[in-house]
Amino acid sequence: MGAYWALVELKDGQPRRGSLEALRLAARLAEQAGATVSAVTIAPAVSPQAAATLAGYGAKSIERLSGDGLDPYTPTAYTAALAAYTKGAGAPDALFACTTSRVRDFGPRFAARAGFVYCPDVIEVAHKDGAMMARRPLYAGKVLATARFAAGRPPFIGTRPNNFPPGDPTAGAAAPVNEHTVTIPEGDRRMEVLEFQPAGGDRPELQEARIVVSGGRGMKGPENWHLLEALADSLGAALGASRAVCDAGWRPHREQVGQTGKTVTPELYIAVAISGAIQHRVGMSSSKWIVAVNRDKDADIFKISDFGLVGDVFEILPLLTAEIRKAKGSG
Amino acid sequence: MRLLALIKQVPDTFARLALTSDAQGIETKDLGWVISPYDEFAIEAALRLREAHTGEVIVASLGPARVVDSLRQALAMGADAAFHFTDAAFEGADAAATALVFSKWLAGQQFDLILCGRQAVDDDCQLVHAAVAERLGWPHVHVVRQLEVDPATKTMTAHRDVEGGVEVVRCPLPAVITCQWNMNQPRLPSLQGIMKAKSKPITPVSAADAGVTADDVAGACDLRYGDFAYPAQKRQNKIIAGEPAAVVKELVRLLREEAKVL
Repeated sequence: MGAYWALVELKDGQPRRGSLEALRLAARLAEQAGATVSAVTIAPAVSPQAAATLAGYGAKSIERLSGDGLDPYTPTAYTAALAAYTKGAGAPDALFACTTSRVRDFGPRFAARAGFVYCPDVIEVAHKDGAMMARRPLYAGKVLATARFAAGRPPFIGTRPNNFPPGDPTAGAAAPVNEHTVTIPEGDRRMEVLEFQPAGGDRPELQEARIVVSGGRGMKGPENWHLLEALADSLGAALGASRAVCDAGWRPHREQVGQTGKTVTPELYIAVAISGAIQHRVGMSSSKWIVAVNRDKDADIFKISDFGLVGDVFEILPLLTAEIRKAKGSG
Repeated sequence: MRLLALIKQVPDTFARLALTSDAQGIETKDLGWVISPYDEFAIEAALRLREAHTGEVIVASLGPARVVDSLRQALAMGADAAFHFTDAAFEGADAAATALVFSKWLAGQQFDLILCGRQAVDDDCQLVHAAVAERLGWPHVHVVRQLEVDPATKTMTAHRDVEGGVEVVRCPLPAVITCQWNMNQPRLPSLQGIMKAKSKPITPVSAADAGVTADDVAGACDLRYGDFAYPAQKRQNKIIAGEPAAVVKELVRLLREEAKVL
C-alpha cells in the first residue's frame, strides 16, 4: 500500500481548481497503484464543505498544517512546515501539486530540503515499469519530452493548470481532517512580508483561467479595451495581450502572453486582433481550443485556430458578447 | 558589495528546434546560443547595484566550451570577472545537479547577493536559485521587479510579482533573488566594453575546484529527458464566414456543442 499526497491550496476557504486537478490525478494514479491519497494543506482552517470537496475528488484524509509564521506566506516557512510534516509522517511515494506561482516559489526549495525529485509543468503522467514518468513542454513549448525520475527519491509532480480535467466530485464522500501543528525554526522566518499591492480587478489569474481573451494591436488603442473586458466578463475569462500591446503601454506587462510573457494553456483562448507572431504563439498554442477574430484573412493566427472569424472586430465583439450572455442565460 | 550573477546559455529563442534522429534530444549542431533572456536582467541588476553601492560583479555559468561566449558577453556588459564551470563530470548535469555544484563552490566564497533570471527559457524548472539558497541556508526571493539593498544594515527590500499583484518583502543578506523582465532594461555591450572584456579573467572551475565528484553530480541529477516530439497541432482551421450576427451565433454554437467550453 503506497501513499500519495496532493498539496492543496485554499483560496477564500475553497480548494483552488488547479489543486483539485492535481488531487484527482493523484487519486486516479493511486487507484492503479493501490495507493491512498492524502490532501495536505497549509491553511488557517478547513471547513466541512472544503473537506467534502476534497474527499469528493479522492482524498482519503486531509492533513492540515498550521503554526506560527505561516501567514503571510513565505517560501522558507512553507518549506519548513512541509519538511517537518514529511519527517514526521514519512515521505510519500509521490507528491502532486498544481504548478501555481506559489508552488513554483517554494516547491524546488522544499524538494531540495526533503529530498524529492521536482518536476513542474507536467501535462501527462504514467507509470512505466514501476517508475513514474512525466511529459512536459521544453523550450517554451517548442517541443515536448518525457522526464524519467531519478530512482530512490519520491517524485514531486507539478501539474500544469487546465491539463488534467478533474471531472465531477464523487457525491457523499467524506474524509477526516487531521490537524498538525508545526514549528518553524527562526532561520526560516527571516523574510518579512511588508505589503501586498493588489493589481485590481476580479478577473481570474491569467495562467490558471479556463478561458482567456487576448487583444492585439488591431484593437487600435487602449480606449477600445472595454470591448474585450465585456467579452471576458461574459465568459468569466482572464484578459491577455500581445507583446506589441504591452510594449506600447496600452496594457500592463503582466497581461502579456508569449515567450517573454506568460505561457497559458486554457480550455479556450480567444485571440482578438492578434496577427499571431511566433513570439505570441508559443505562449498560447497549447490551449485546448483556439478562436481567432481578425480582419486579415491571411493572418498567421488562423493557421493555429480551431474557429476563425474574419471581419471587423469592433463590429463582432459586441455581438459576440451579447450572444454569449444569451447562451449562458439560457444554459 | 560582492554580487554574483548565475547565468545559463540556452538555444537562441528565435531558433527553430530540430530533433535528433533518435528523438532523444534536440539537434544542437547548427544552433545559435544566447544568454537566457531573464539572466540578462540579473546581470543588469548586478551592474546597477555595483554602480549604486560600489563593489564587484562576478558572473558564473556551467556548461560546455561555448558558454565562454556568454560569459564574455556579460564581461562586455560590465561584469568584472567570470567563472566557467567546466568538467567532464558536469556533463548531463540537470538543474538539481547544477545547484549542487554551485552551492558547494559557494560554500568557500563570500557574496552578499546572488542574482538569477526568473527562469531559464529551455527547461524552465525555476529550480537552481531556490536549491542554491536552500543549500546555503539563505533566503530567496523569486520574480523580483524592484530591489533596494541597504549595505549598512545588510538587508534588502524586494517587490515581487505574485498572482493578483505585487508583494513587498524584506530579508537579510546574503540572499538569492530571481529577476523579472520588468526590473530593468539590460544594456548592450559598448565597443569599449567589448574591448575591455577581452582582458578580463574567465576562470575555469573543475569538479575538484568546486568540491564535488562525478558521482556527486550524477547522484544529484533528478530528471533525464527522452522521447522528444513536437506538440501535436490538430486544429480545425474552420473559418466561419457570413454576416457578423450569423457568424457569431455559429461560433457560440460550436463552442457549446463541439468544444463544450461554454
